[in-house]
Formats: sequence, structure tokens, C-alpha cells
Amino acid sequence: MSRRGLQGQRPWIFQRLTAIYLAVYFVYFIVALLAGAGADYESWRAWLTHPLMFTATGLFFGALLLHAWIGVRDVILDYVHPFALRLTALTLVGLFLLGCGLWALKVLILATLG
Amino acid sequence: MRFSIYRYNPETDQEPYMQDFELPASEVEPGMMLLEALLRLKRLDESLSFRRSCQEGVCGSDGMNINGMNGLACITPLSALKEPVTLRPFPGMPVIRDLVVDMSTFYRQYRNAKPYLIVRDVEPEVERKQSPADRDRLDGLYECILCGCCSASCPSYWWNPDRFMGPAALLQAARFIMDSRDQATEDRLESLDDAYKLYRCHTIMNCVQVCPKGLNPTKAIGDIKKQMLVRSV
Repeated sequence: MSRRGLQGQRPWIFQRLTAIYLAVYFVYFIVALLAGAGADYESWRAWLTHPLMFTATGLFFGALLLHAWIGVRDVILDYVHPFALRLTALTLVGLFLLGCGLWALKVLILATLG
Repeated sequence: MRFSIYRYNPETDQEPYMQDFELPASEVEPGMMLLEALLRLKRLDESLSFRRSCQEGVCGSDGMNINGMNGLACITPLSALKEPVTLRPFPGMPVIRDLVVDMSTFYRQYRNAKPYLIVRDVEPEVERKQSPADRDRLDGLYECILCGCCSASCPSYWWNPDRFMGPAALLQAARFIMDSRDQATEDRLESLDDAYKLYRCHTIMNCVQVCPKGLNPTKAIGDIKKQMLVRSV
């Protein structure tokens, strides 16, 4: 497929795939909370640092940030037309999401270290 | 019957304004269409400008914004309109005069869709054949009259008319992507894989709501996306 300019199809596909993953994770997370997972700090930590849950949560943050990036990128492409302004807006959003990602990563890693 | 019509003559007016018109009840006949009323108003004020030609919803010349919705004046019954009937030119398109807009960007996007068969095989001696089933896939795509009602009602097209192709041009793109006789499907799909041309469509569906021919550009756009997905996976 074309490599000129901003891509169309790939972000569109990822937006949908991440949406499905986010929905599944959210439902599982809420059901698990209602079922009493993580009622106190120790069980909460044991639950989240279980390798499966840890991977799923890491993927969740990845999917969340990717989904947010595509969505906000779409809004900027729709409404922000001057090139310099668009580039600035995209860069700021990208940096913000990257910061959020690193922060989430730090929290996850600290949780495993106890 | 009362009308409020957008007026702008770039040679004399500083800016556009709305002008009230009154069509005497004696002039309003049962079953009359909006275009006929406009033609009668033009007798009262010859400077009132609008495009029209066939007067039966085939040529697509008299597209305008009627009480807030894009449509063809010639097939809009007066009886269905609330008074005062507010007429404006297509939103988002540069006004040339009164209800006449500059549609050159719209036509450029139509050209971008390459609205013709591209065949690489040697010309056949007789016609290019197509099975009835393949022909049926073009239904709902070929009927477009290029009036512009859909693109002029599309917010994505308002914001990016020079880069987003808009529902009308994308419907035509779909018409040739779906055509079993066309041999440039791959190239057509590849050229649409861009953040702007196709993917500014956010399925708002104003196009479907206003199309005077009852077509569904949103579905055509969805079908293009589906074809792209099938080809790339």
C-alpha cells in the first residue's frame, strides 16, 4: 500500500482492533473487581502482578494510548489546517501520550518489584 | 407563500443578505414544486439567480439548501415546506451569485475518482461482457447525478474539500472498484489508502439523508474499506 503522506487504512484497522481489546479488558476488569479481586492491597498486587494479568494490563495501556492517538490525530486532521499548528498539535499530543505510556510502564514495573 | 432567499451579487453587494419574497396564493398551484415557485419569483425580480435545467430531478443542476436541508428544488413539493421557505446556496461552497455556487473543487474530486473503466487487455471485438450478478453490484452506485447535495452536506467535506474526496466522488470510486470489467482495482484502492481522501469519512451519514436519488454513499464508502481490508489481509 501507499507510503506517501499520512496513512489511512492502517490507523483505521488499529482503531477498531484496539477498541475490541479495550472493551474486552474493561468488561473483564469490572467483573473481576465486582467479584472481589483486589479487595485489599496484597490481593490487588498479587492479582495485577500475575504474569497473565500483567501482560494483559500492559497491552491494555498500549492499546489505550494507540486508540487515543488515532482518535485525537483524526480530530486534528479534521480541524487543524495550518501546517505549523497541525505539526505542533500532533507533536504535543504524541509527547503527552508517550509520557502517559512511560508513567504506566513505571507503575507496572514498580508493582512487580513490590 | 413566503420565502426568505440568500442574495449576493459580488459586483454590487458588500456582503450577502437574506431577502424576503412573497408569492401570491393565486400563483401557487396544487402539486407545484419549489423550482416552479422560484421561476415565478424570478418574474418578479429578474436578478434572482439559480441554476436549473431539466426540471425533473435528472440533471442535478438545482441543488440548494432548502429549509436547512440540501435538495433539488425541482423535486421538492412546496406543500412539504414550512414557511417562510428559507433558501441558501450549498453550504461550504464558494458563492458565485445568489444560489449559484462554484463547484470546481467538487468536480476535481470527481475526476480524482477516475470515473471511467480502465482496461489493460486488448479491446475485444464485441462488447465487454458482464454477468447479471456482477451488473447487479453496480446498482445504487451508477445512478448518481452529481448534484452535489451529499458532499455539500458532509461536515468532513466542509472542513477538507480539497483533500477529502467527499461522498459523491467516493460513490463513483466505489462504482468502478465494484465493476467486474475494471482492471485497475488494485491501483484505485491503493490511491485511496491515505488519511484524507477516504478516511476523513466518519460515517456521519448526512449524505444518505439528503441524496435526492435515495443512494447510500456511506455504504459505498464502507464497501471500499471492506475491499481494502480483503486485499491487504
